[in-house]
Amino acid sequence: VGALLVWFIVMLAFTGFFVVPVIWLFLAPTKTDHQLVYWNPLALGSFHTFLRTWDEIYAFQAHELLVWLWNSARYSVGGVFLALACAVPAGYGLALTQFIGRKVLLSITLIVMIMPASALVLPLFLEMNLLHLSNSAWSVVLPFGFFPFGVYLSYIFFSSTIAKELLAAARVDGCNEWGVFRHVALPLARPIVALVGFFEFVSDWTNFSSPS
Amino acid sequence: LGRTRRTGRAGGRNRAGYAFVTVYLVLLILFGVLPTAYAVYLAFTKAAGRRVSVGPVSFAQWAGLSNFFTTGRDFRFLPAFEHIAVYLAIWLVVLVVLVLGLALLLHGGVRRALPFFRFLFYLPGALAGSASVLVWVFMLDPSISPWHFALSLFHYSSMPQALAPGHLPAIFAVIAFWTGAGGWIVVMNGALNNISEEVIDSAKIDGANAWQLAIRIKLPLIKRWIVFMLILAFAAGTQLFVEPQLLGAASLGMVSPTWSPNQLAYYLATQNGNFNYAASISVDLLIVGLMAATLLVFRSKLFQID
Repeated sequence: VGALLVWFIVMLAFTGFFVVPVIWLFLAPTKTDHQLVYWNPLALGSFHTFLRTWDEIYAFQAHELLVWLWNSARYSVGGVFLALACAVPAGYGLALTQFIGRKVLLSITLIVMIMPASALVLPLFLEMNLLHLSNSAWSVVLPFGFFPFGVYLSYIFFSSTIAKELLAAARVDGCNEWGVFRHVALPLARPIVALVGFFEFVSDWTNFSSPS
Repeated sequence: LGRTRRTGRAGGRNRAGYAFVTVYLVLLILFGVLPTAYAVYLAFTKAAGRRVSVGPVSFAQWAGLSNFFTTGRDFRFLPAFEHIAVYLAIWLVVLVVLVLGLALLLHGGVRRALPFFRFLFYLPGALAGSASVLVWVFMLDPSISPWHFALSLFHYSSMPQALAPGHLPAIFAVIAFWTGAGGWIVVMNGALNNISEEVIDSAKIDGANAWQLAIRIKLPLIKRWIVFMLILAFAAGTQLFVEPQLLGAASLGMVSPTWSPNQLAYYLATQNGNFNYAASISVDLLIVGLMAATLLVFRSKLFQID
């Protein structure tokens, strides 16, 4: 019982650390500038202020916000589908098949992930111009579909979780390589598909630098 | 006959390997390799200078290592790297100890409460990076922070006191932990869930207590995930940008606009218009990140699959 109590206290302490600033953020739009500074930080302002704040944002540049939200939503969804279709098979191929260049591919993926993202903004922009893709949805969705982080998550998952014997057994039963992936590995990989899709969606939804 | 059949099968698997990575490979080249190559090219060429045309393509003048020497001699260069070294030391220790600690506590604790706490820990990670720093501008101002009691423990009564230069590495580590730890806790939790119940049960039968189970059984089994986290956390740490940039802007200059190397690169690119200098600093950071990654990959055999 003592251990359980300590466990709950530790969990609640960290919950406070993670959640209090988020609560503050949710309460902020209900307060005026004056209230933000002089009231108790976690006090609730008024619903009226919240509505007025929202109205002002909503009216900004003739309802531009709706366009932004719609853009974020469709680009993110497109990004998730493309990223899953690329990253999960790639992680599987890197972990459970042997081919020449496998380690080179893993290394290059790692190098690209380590390269400071800020250094890639200008080259990406120039490249999109070159491909005549700037100002089109593809210039956002295609780079979103490139998700090396998801490739590594899938690679580590497949290399540490799926037993090769299981795949070998499926081959003996007459599955071809695609069938082994589709009918044996993929059903076992649900947790990692969910994880990659989730991280991809959040990273697309909150992405700022690449579209601008 | 048996031998030829075996090589035939392995050959098929080889080709299948390529098929699984092909689509990814195209995106990798387009949006990873080419932009990275161009950034490296910028680092080794001059912004102004005679261009050399080879057919339809024109190349900027080769600069050798001169961009690296010029930026390396800049008076802001060394302080920026010193700042980042102190920050990294704090950030990596805090991240590894607390992420693994919390993930193991969640996994070994009350199972029904796990999704609830995991969600709450992750919540800040779902905010956009810029929004999360703006939240912390308010969190760190003792006069309006919900943490004023904690800040007053350190006798901080005003924002300039809280943002004194010596405090900055620790403050950025706290912000980065607040935004980033939840995601890694989710990853580690997923990794721990992949451990089969049989392994854990048999360890329990052998008399392992919760501590031994966590340290001797669970941690070694998720080693690859930990190595991956270390590589990326190290690289991300050297590239610290949003936190000092926004905190500097919001606190009216209490944080230098060239506090971190990545900020210095941004400053040189936007204020001096010299993308080549900026690219050379990015390449410096890439090299530092790669050294750490190489060490970790080889020590952990991350690329080995048999």
